[in-house]
Amino acid sequence: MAAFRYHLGQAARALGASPYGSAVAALTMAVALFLASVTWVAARAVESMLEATAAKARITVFVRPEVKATAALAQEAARMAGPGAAAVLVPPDVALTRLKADLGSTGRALDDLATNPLPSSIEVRLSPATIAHEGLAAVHRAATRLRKLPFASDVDDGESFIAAVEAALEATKATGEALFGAALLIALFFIGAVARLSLVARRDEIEILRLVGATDRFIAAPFVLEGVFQGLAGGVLAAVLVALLERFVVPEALSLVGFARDIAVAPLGPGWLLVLVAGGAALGALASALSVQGFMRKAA
Amino acid sequence: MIQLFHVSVSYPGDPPVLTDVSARIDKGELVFLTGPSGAGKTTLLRLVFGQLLATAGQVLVAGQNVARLKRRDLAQLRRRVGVVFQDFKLLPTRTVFDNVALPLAVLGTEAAVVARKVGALLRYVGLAGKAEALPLRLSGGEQQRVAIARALAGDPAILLADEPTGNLDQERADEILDLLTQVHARGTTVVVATHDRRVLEQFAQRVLILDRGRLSADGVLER
Repeated sequence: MAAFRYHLGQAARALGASPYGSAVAALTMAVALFLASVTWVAARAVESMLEATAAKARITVFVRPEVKATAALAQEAARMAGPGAAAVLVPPDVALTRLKADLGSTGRALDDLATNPLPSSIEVRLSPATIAHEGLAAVHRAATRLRKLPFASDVDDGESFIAAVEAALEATKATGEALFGAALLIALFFIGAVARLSLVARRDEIEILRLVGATDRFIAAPFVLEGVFQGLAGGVLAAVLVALLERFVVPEALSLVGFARDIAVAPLGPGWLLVLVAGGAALGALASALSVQGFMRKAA
Repeated sequence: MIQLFHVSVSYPGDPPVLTDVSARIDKGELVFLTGPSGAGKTTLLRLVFGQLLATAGQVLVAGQNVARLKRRDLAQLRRRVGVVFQDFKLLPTRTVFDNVALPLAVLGTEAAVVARKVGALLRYVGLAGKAEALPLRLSGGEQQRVAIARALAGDPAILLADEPTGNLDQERADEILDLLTQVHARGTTVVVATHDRRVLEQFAQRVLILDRGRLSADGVLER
C-alpha cells in the first residue's frame, strides 16, 4: 500500500510536470474511443433500419394500365403471396397523396401535375409470423411469385433499398473499424511517446532508483499509472461525447432521413460508457508498459 | 562478506582497469581502498554492488555471486548495500527528505515509519533543519551527508563510500569520516575508497592499495 501511494504520487507529479503532453495523449485516446463508439452507434442505427424494414415489409404490385383494378385482383395477389398474407388495393389518387406525404415539404411540387402519373397498385403484406420466421427472404420469394400474375406490370419488394441499406451497414462498419484502428494506433503512440519523454527526463532518477535496489516493476509502476490516468481521462471524455451524441445528434440525424423518422436506436447505455472508461485506462496502461519495457531493455 | 577471486575488468582496446584482484573483506570490517586516480578504486566498488560485471573472476557479496544474479535478485542485493557516490547522485528536484527516503520507498516502508526514520537519520548526520531544502541549496559537505543518510536509510549490511571526502575542506572531511566510523561501530561493513593519504594515516585500519589495476598491498598502515 505504501509503495502504491508512492507510485501514485510519482505519477501525479509527472502528469503535473508535462500537462500538455498528457492532455494530447488523453485527447487522442478520447478520439479513438469516440470513433469506435460512433461506428457502433451508426452500425446499430443501420441495423435498426434493416429490422424496421423487415417488420414493415410490403410488396407493391403495379397493375397494368389496361386492366381495371378491383378488390378481386387484390385477393388473388394475397393468395399468391402465401398463407396469412393480406392485400389492399391502392388507387392512383391514394398513391399520390402518400407520395406527397413521404416527400414532406418538397411534395408540394406534385400539386402542379396536370394528370396523376401513378398506376393503380396492390400492396401485399406477409403475415407477421412468416416475417418473424423467414425474414426478408420470404418477401423476396413472395415477390417472385407475384411477378407471375398476368395483371402485374411490375413488382417492387424494396430489394434495391435493402441492398443499399446492407451496403451502408458494411461500409459503416469497415470505415469505422479503419478509423478506429488508425486513431487507436495514434493514441497508443502518443501515450507511449509521453511515457518515453517522461522516462528520458527522469533517467537520472531511474538510475538512482536502480542503485538503491528498485526492481524494474517498481521503476515502471509510476509510468504505467501515468498511462492509466491519461487513458482514463480519454475514456471519460469519450464517454461524455458519446452520451451527447446519443442524446442530441443521433435523433436529429435520423429525423433528416424520411423513412428513418420512426426508427428508434436503443442507447448504448451505462455499460458501454463503463467499457469506454475502462478500455481507455487499459489501453493507456498497455501503451505506457510497452514504452517502459522498451526503455528498460535498452537501458539494461 | 565481500570476496573477490582473481577479478579482472577490461574494455576492448584499452589497458585493463583491474587485473587479477583477489581480496576478502569480513563482516563488520572497516577497510580503506586507496591508490592514485585511475587505479581502479571506483571500478572495484561498482563490482561489489553489481553496477559493473567482471570480465574475468568472481565477485561474491554475502555469499552471492553477483554476476549470476537475476535482475530482481540484484535489486534485492542492492538493498543490503548502501553506496555513497563520489558525485553524490542526489535528485536535484527533490527535497533532502525525499532523497533520504528513496531506499525506504523502494522497500515499501509505511509513511509514518519513513518520517520517523528519515528524521532520525537527518539528526544523525546533522541536517535536522534541512529536511525540506533542495540538495543544490546545500554545501558540498551537506550534500555528502545527505548521500550518507540515504545510503544508511535501508539499514544496509555493507556501506561503500567512494571518495567521501574528495571535495571537502579538512573540517568537513573529518565530520564525514567520523560519521563513517560511527556507522562501522554499529556493526556495518564499511569500505571507503580514497586517495587522501591523511585519511589513511588518521585511521589505523586495513588498507587495500591498488596500483594500475593491480592489488599491490593489503595491510594496516601505521599512524
